[in-house]
Amino acid sequence: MDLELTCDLQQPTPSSDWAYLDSQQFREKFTSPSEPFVMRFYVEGVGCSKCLAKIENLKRSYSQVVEASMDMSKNILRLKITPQGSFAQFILGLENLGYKAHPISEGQDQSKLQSLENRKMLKRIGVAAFCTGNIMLFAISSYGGVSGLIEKYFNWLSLFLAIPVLSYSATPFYKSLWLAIKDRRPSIDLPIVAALLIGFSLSAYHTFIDHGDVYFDTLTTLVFLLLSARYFLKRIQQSYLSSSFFLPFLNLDKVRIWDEALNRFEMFPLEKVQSGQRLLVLKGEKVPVDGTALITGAPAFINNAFLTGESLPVKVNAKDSVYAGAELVSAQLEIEVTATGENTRLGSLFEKMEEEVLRRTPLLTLTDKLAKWFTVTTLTMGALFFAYYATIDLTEATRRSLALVILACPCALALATPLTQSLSLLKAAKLGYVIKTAEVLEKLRHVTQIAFDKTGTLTEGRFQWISWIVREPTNEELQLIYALEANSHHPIAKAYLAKVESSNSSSLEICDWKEVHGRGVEAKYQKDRYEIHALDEDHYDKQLGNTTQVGFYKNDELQFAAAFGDQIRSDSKELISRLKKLGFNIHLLSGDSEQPVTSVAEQIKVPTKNAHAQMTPESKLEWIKSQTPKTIMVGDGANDAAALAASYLSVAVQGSMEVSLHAADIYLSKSGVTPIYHLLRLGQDTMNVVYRNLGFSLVYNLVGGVAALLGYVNPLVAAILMPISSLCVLASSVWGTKYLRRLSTLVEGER
Amino acid sequence: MSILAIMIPITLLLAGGFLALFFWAVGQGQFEDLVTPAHELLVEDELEECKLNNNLNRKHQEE
Repeated sequence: MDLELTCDLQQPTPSSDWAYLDSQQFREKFTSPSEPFVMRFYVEGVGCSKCLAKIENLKRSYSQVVEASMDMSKNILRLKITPQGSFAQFILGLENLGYKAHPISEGQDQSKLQSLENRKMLKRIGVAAFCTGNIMLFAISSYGGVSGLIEKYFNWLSLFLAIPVLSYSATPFYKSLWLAIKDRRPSIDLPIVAALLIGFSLSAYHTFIDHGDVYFDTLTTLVFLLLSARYFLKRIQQSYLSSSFFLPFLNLDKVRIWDEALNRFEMFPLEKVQSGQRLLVLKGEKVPVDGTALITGAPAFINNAFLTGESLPVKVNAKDSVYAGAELVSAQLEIEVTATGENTRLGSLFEKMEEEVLRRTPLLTLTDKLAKWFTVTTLTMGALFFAYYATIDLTEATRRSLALVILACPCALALATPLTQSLSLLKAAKLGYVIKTAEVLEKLRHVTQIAFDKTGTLTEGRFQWISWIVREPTNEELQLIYALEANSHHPIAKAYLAKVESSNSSSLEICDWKEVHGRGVEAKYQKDRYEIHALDEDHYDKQLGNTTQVGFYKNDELQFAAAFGDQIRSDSKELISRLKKLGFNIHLLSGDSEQPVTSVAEQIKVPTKNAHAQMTPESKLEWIKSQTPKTIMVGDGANDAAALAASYLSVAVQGSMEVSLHAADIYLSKSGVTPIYHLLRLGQDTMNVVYRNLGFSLVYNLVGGVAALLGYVNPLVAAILMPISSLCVLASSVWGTKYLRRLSTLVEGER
Repeated sequence: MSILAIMIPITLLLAGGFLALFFWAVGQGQFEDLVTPAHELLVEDELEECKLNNNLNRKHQEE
């Protein structure tokens, strides 16, 4: 194998089971009929040519892979395999290299439509650029004093060159204006179209009678600049994923259903499961449905972290309810199905989340509001003035009204605001913060309260070794721990393994291995009996606070112990203190019991009254809904999805992309919570620049507009002033966001 | 100055040719992904470097 050709050290990532990628059912949903062996994946973390080289290298080592092409602008990998090939193997290889991949459903070939739309737009811009450039040459010579026959010739040429711009390039403006008119709402395109049509008619008329000024250069420049800005913004927004790409994969698994006729469990696709049937779930698997436990002997243990955020396994007795999404920790569990699919608790949570997403009223952004006001005012003023002045002097009335319309080009609204916002979005995306829409930036400014989920957000979300108690283990003992814990699915065992794995060189031969649920593991090794289980009360080290402590016993005698806990992320405490300084109200929501929640709250200095323990996903949703201050919810996992969707703004942190991006406005693909602070600052800073630009253009338009109506500005001067004012706001947008420019250095500095 | 009457149509034709080229390039999808091609250029070099590094590492381990 060529696979050892990797540059950097491989990150040890848990190998997940990707086998479902090759199942018939999955392929039907995720490939298009025209290309049955092509699947597309969203890949996290590809950002340099080294990454590309690694993928290329991986591709060469799998003969089944025909094509693996990466689009780095969208982070999308197109994978084509031979008819016999396997998607799963390649994706597993990719994961071992440290890249997380998520399959993307083909949808209605949305991406193809998008790229066709983009190409059309580019052609429009191309035509506008071509015509504008040439018209400019003629216009400059006209300003330079060319006169007579040549001027006439130039004017006619400009007229002909302006026709494709107005009839082809500018069509998006007509279309969106038409849509706005149909909906009876004022649009920012109204003054643009008005300026284009009035300006063109007047200029054409002047060309015909060979007298007066022509404004073809102004009009075409306007079209070119506006089209370019819109295209730029659109491209940036397209590089974000639409949330519909991701589907929860829970429904694609196969399950074991009791078959009466055969008298044994048989594998069936989950869709076939009905209420009342008996299912068998094995150790390490997720419970696929809601049901009641059918237990005859010892109780079973399940981990509900996925649903409630509680990190330790819970005991299940006969007739207890188990919910879809729970992971089985003990050997096996039979359940009688009570609800499937959307009717499960998890399913109804997803449904609630979708409802919340739909219910959210679209934010009427500041720009929208101003555009409305601006458009109506300018046009009313122009029309009123024209109506009044036309009785006095028709030509002069036309000139002045036109000057007003051209001068009042809503540059700050149409160009600068999207530009500023998209620059911020782009920068954020490069740093790994995916912001869904530009409106989020505006909303960030209004947030006054922040609610954090505890498990997995402020804490690491998994058990980790914290310290040894009594003494440190010897090398042989470390190997024994490894041998004892290797087969257990208990979170403590996993944490223990992660700790001792590095020191494990050979595996010891142990016998009589046994896992006692709710207690621990035991086995025999060289005639001695070893046990790992919870530490007795009298040895418990209370100084270590809220930890789970397990002892290592040799023939019932304690040798040493280890403390485990869900550690608080290294940056949580600092983030909270920084946010408090900015005046935010911090809340902590958790499904965990009172004690660990208060302990975490104390450590990160959140007032105890703001720490809410024992919150079910449903009560989190209720809590969020009951909040009057504008709240940003930071959470992860399926259990937060409904609350994320219901809150004013929401941030999903790493590890929950598939589910959370449905509901959340912002997704952080890098670990840690410091980005929250940067995001809030970025939002504020961006909007400050936007407000500054708006303020500037308001003053400019007011002064200019009045001057134009009084006849101090003729259309030619207006045509010169307009681009200058545009340049001013553009420059202010590009160089204005100080925080934006410093952000990468800030983020780099923190690593 | 009457030469302009001929020169300008010629320049417009020439520029129109470039516009046609641009249309062709857009149709080919050359403006779709502006990030990857810049990196793709270096992929072969990176692969070479990997091989070198690995060989070095292997030698190092053998020693």
